[in-house]
Amino acid sequence: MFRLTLFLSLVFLIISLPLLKVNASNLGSRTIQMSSSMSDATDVTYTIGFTNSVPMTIGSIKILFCSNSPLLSDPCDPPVGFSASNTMISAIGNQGITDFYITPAASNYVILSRPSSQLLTPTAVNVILNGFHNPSGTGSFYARIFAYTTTDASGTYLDAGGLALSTSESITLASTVPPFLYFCAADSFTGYDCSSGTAYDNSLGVLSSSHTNFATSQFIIGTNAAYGLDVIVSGTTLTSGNNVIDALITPDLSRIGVSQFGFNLRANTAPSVGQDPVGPGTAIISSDYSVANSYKFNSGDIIVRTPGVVDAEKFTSSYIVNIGQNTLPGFYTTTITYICMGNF
Amino acid sequence: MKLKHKIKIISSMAKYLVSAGILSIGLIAPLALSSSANAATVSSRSIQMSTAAQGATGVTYTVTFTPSGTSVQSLVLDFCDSASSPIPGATCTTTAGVPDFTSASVSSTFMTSLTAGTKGLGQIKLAGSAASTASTAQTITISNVTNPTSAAQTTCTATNGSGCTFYARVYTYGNATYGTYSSASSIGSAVDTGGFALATSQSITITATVKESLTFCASKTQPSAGCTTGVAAPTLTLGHGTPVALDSTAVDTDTAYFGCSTNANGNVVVRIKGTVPTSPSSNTIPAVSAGGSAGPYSITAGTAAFGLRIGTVSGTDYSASGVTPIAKYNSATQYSWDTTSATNNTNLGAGDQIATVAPATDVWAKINFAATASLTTPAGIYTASESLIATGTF
Repeated sequence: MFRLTLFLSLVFLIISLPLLKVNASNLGSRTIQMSSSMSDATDVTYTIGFTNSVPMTIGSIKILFCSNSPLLSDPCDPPVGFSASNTMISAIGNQGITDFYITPAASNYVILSRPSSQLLTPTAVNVILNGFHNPSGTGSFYARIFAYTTTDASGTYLDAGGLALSTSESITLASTVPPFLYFCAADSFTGYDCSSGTAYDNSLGVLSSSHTNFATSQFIIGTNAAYGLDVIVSGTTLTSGNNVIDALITPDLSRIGVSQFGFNLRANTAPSVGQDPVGPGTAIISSDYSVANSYKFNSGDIIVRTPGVVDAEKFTSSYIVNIGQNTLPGFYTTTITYICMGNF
Repeated sequence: MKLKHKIKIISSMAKYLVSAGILSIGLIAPLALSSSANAATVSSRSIQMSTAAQGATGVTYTVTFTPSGTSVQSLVLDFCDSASSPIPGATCTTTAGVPDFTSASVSSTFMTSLTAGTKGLGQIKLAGSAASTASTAQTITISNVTNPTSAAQTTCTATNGSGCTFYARVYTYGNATYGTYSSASSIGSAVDTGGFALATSQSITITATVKESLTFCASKTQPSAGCTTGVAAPTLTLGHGTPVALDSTAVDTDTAYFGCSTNANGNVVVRIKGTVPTSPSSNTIPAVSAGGSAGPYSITAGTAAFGLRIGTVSGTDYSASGVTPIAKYNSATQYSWDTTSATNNTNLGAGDQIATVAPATDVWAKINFAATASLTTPAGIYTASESLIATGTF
């Protein structure tokens, strides 16, 4: 009978247990925002935030940092590598209580004192503290915020609350941008896409002493060479066996009936051929090839130059040919080579 | 022999009382004490309290007993403090340390139309409109009783059950006017009597403290809950080809994760801050869309840009619950690297928020970094260090 009574008593006892109770702090919305979560980071800014849910006469606030627990009842082990010794209050950005000053800080706590205790109605408080040294390891660590009536965090605290923080590894990104020279030549391109180049031969048609024959080709440049690039033209004038059409060694206009072969990189009107360079690049055309309606061909000339990196730019070479009445008949050809040199 | 036997019985009774007191519940003590005069003893009697908490209000007392063979029509329940006794007719202090029946109501399987008569501290009188059935187990339910308060039972502790005890006595009468009952110690011509022992208890308060917690990690691979496993150094490379290089022909990407477990009731804000990829010569791959804050923006191969995004597919790009990416980073194809907002991605600011994490044990998100070079992006090795910052509000 006694055992039965004991058993029933225990059952009743268990049933009658009240619900679990959790302590609540009147320092709500507690937060510490770190300017850097990197372990061992120095000169880190901690923005301390809380809201007192009931009016409090606050003279000081103590923020204690621990590696083991946010619970007020637990002993506090300072986080390894952490230091609050050099903290200072930011001159700007503080809210709620703006008259705090720091009582000389210890390694793992900061005491924010006020000139005098003053009643603080429920207010969101933000205090920006610079100069923390983060813990040396990654992972969680904790802070406990205590509010005191006294101005030096002495005596019994009014209220307190804990919170958790964390350090973590930084994400490291690495990428290598190689030296590159973007260059191509063809009869024409779509946009600045070298792969769109079409045809590499160009017919000037049947030459005549009564008009100018012309044709075009294009080349695209671009480079990240720190000292830019040079584009050099190389080749011969039009020849047919031993017969030649005179190259314009010096810039000149297109003259019908005069044996001439030359080119430039501009939009011309006499004859109407070519176009100015297009694209985001800003390369410089050599002056001899940069005047509309003025043509030249001298193998080995630098025709385009950039002093530094240059974005994509497309140039149009406008070739003109004139012959004289005494130009011997034949099949005249030439091969023009454009050479681009990056200066890295 | 008779004396020894009586001592043994009383000892046994005491055990019940002590056990009931220590374990803080109200139970019947099967006392077999005699009543006054020629009254018989009600048998199988008990009073069950719905709660034994001191000072509890709205308590229901369920009184059960089996009367003797004589019909009755009224009864009196007297309650006496711990210094008194359950013996009918003995001295009974009812001024303190006893339940209060002032506001009580009654229902019963006993007597027809049983109603409450006098009600007060330590006493309730009940009378029926007709006589009871004899020798049949009866139940009377008395509701809205107030238990003795802790102030009245100052000696009642969890370890000292004796001070928690109080007593009840029941007297039944053949008429509807309580026979010649006068007081607890002068019960008159009762048909049946019986004693009860009850006890209150202090409420047991259990306090549980849950630590504020925030576990957070950055990893190249998806971390497990609590970042306990699956964490790898978040070292990323942006580029393609062999050797891996960043150029103007493609948008190159690489991924990292953050993992978070927290009980922060105000959620956790995850921010990221750092630099755009920068070479030793201080050349940079610029933020996408000039660091605009209204992203996400597209990154096009050949237009130098750097940014990050968290995808849009729950369960694939981020954990199925607990994480909410911020809009400008929440895209399947577009990116942001904010250098213009007050809280931006640069090291000068607090970091730009990329996600919000609700209290949960296993929250993660995949962060996609992307970059492309332009034709003019100076050659070099570009590096960046991005700091993920988790701030919990507790």
